[in-house]
Amino acid sequence: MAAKGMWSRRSPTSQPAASGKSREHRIHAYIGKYALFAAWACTILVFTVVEPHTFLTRQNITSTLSSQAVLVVLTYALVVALTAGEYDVSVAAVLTLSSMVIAILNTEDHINIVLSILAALAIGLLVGAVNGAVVVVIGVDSIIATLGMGSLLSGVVLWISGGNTLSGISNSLVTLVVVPHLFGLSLSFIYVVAATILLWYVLSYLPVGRRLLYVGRSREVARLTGLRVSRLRWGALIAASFIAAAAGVLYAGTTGGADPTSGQAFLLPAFAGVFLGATTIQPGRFNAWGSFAAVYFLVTGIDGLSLIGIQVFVQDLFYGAALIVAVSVSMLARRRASAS
Amino acid sequence: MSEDDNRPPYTLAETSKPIFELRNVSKRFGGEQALNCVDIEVRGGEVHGLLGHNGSGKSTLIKILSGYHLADSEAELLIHGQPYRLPLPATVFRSLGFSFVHQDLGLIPSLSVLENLCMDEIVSAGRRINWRALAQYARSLLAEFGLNIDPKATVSELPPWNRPLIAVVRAIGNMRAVIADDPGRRGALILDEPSARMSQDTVSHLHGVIRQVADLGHAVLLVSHNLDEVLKVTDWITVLRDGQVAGELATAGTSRARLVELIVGGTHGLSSAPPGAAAGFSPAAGPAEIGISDLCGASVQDLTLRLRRGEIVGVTGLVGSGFDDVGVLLFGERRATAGLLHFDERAVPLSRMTPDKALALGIALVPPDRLTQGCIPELTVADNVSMPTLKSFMTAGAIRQQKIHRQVADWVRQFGVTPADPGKTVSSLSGGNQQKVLLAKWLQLPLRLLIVIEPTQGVDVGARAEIFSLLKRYAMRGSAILCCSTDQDQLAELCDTVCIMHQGRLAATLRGVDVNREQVTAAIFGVSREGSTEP
Repeated sequence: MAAKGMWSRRSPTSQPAASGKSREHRIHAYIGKYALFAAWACTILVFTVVEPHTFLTRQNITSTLSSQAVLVVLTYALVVALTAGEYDVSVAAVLTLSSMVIAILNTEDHINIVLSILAALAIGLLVGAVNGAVVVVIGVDSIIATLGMGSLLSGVVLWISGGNTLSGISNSLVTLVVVPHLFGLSLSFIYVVAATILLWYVLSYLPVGRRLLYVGRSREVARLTGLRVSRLRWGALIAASFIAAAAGVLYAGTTGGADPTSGQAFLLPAFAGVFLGATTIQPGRFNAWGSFAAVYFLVTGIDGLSLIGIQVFVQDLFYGAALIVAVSVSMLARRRASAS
Repeated sequence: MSEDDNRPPYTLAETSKPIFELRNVSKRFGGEQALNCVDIEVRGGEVHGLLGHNGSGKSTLIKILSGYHLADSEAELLIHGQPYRLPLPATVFRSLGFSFVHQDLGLIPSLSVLENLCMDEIVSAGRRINWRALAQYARSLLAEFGLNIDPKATVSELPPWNRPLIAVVRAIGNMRAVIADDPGRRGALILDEPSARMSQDTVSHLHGVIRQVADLGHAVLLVSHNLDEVLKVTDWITVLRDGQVAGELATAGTSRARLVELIVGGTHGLSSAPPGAAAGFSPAAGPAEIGISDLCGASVQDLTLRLRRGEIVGVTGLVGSGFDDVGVLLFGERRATAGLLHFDERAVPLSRMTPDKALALGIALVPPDRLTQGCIPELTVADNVSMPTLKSFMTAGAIRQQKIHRQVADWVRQFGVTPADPGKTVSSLSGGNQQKVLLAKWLQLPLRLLIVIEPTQGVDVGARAEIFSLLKRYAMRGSAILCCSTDQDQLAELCDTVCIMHQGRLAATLRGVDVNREQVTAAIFGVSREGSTEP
């Protein structure tokens, strides 16, 4: 590499070729950065043509945007964990547990909805702390630790609910989440936008966001730069669980109740969203707006397919394929980013 | 190979025939001639020592032989008199009875001794692994060379100084397995600094094993820094200096002084015979800005040092002497067991040092491996350089990317990074520029003590000179610099004072006009003799 550097410094003839290459490189990078939006536009166009009467209607748009708030927030839990280099596969179970705790406390034990929500969020913090202890203190690989935790929490949910679906959560929560406000958009969408801005600010504009990135990319370099690596990793896992619990609050508000199993279905779409999100806006990095766009792109596809009347299995097929494609593309994006 | 089958049975006279020869080996790295027309001939029944100081071309030669580096054209390899083309694939080498033990021993620590010893057999096993036969083989191999090691033990549970022995015994076993069908054939064992991290008693055990192999008629090429080892165990010595053969001589009848002379060049090394050992060290006059007292930990024992403001102090020694541990212990990358750091009338216990505390005290470490320890290569120059100073870029509750960009652009221009573009990723820069980025990351701070470990490893000549001047200018602004290195030229050029370590202790200190390449080299090798005569 040293030889290459000297060569390009001494040989003036190599300059034009190099700059031409870098211009081409920049164009490629630009295309890569916004490819997701092009794909999104195509998806919308195709479904508008195929389903002119239902797809691009105000009602479909607002319901799509509002109904996926839970998924977007859950995706943000993964953004935080993955930025710090940790996999958290227990987030969907935390979401389910959180919504179930609210339902049980509020409907069976008649506890004030605010207190119920606080209890659910506290449980999120607790789960994150335990995850962190196992991963950071004991040194278990995060994917294994959280896989175990996810199964454990699913068991807890079945146990405390007796396997039953509960309904009848306080109307005030339901109102705060699903009732349409601005232009037919529910408040849940407003929460999502606020959460996105907050996450974007933390990751891009606060030192702690940068530090999580450094730790996620190289624990060794971070440690030798004086960062408190253990604390940051632990903090990221706590934050991820807390955000997942918050997604559970939204879920309880959206459905007005809780069931012991359906939350698990969010896990794969959330992973697809976070990896697909890392291909756009800031390619090669897990980022807030990229994940936001990615989730809605995926949801648009699912929504369109369901309008044409394609069967349920398509959803699994679509999210699974999207995850594989997204991870492959973000891998390539990261490789390209490191070469420029 | 077919000729070999017709060979007469092995006789003693055969031992004097060369098993392998390398001829006319040259290698250029960028602008530097690492090897220049080197010839070496290794005979059967002979232990052949390859000596030379750091950068003399020893490891390049071994890497060319093993096929890791490609030699420049005209290089020839003869095995049993037959020409072979370099690089020779590993499988062919193996089939000719060649076995390598590299500095990285190639053991898998989490597996058992048995699984490590029989790795070749397990990999090439046809249908079913006959564990009983393998266990028997491992036991007999260990017993043959007098190793009292349980084959079922996990390698990571064994003391680290036993591991080179396992790797060597494995290499011998592999070599013999290949040539077992023909009792007349002889193989070659190539050992790259096997004893560097071994304890005294296991080293003498290793020497016994090496002798045993040579006495069976095989050839052994032993790369070493250690003169005593080479004088004790070899029959023939080749000394490399600046990529050329400085001398070839029979071990019998040679003296240590003659070897030092060949390694250093000229006779200068003789006059400056080993400087005073540990007892002779007295603290420097004048106000000491930073003191280190009784530092213990890793391989360092009771080290006491003083550094003044603006002083560049080098710490060096043979591999395994602990010189490279001094830096990591001071920074708290590894925990010291005892020791105090003194400055401004404060005494900080080093046993509780961590990297973040060290930084708070104004101590930073530039690690030797810039791509895995120093920088995050896939992030940009701006991301990397701003890492320790993020907070200074906060305005109204947010980090200003623009501000980082402008500041870092300024820094990289001052440090001579080309291109001076903070938006480039570190991995896209050349080695020398990466190293300058790494220095910019730390030299932007006003530090009390900067520790650098091998600061110009893998850096081209031009960048090397620039890095020296950056470090000197930084020291002049009032910081102390501690440079841990084995590069004698670098130490001579950069340092005001050089401390030489031996077996974890400070053995000699050179100051002022004594800090030159010849004296540093002579002191390193001279000291190693002093030390080895200790009980």
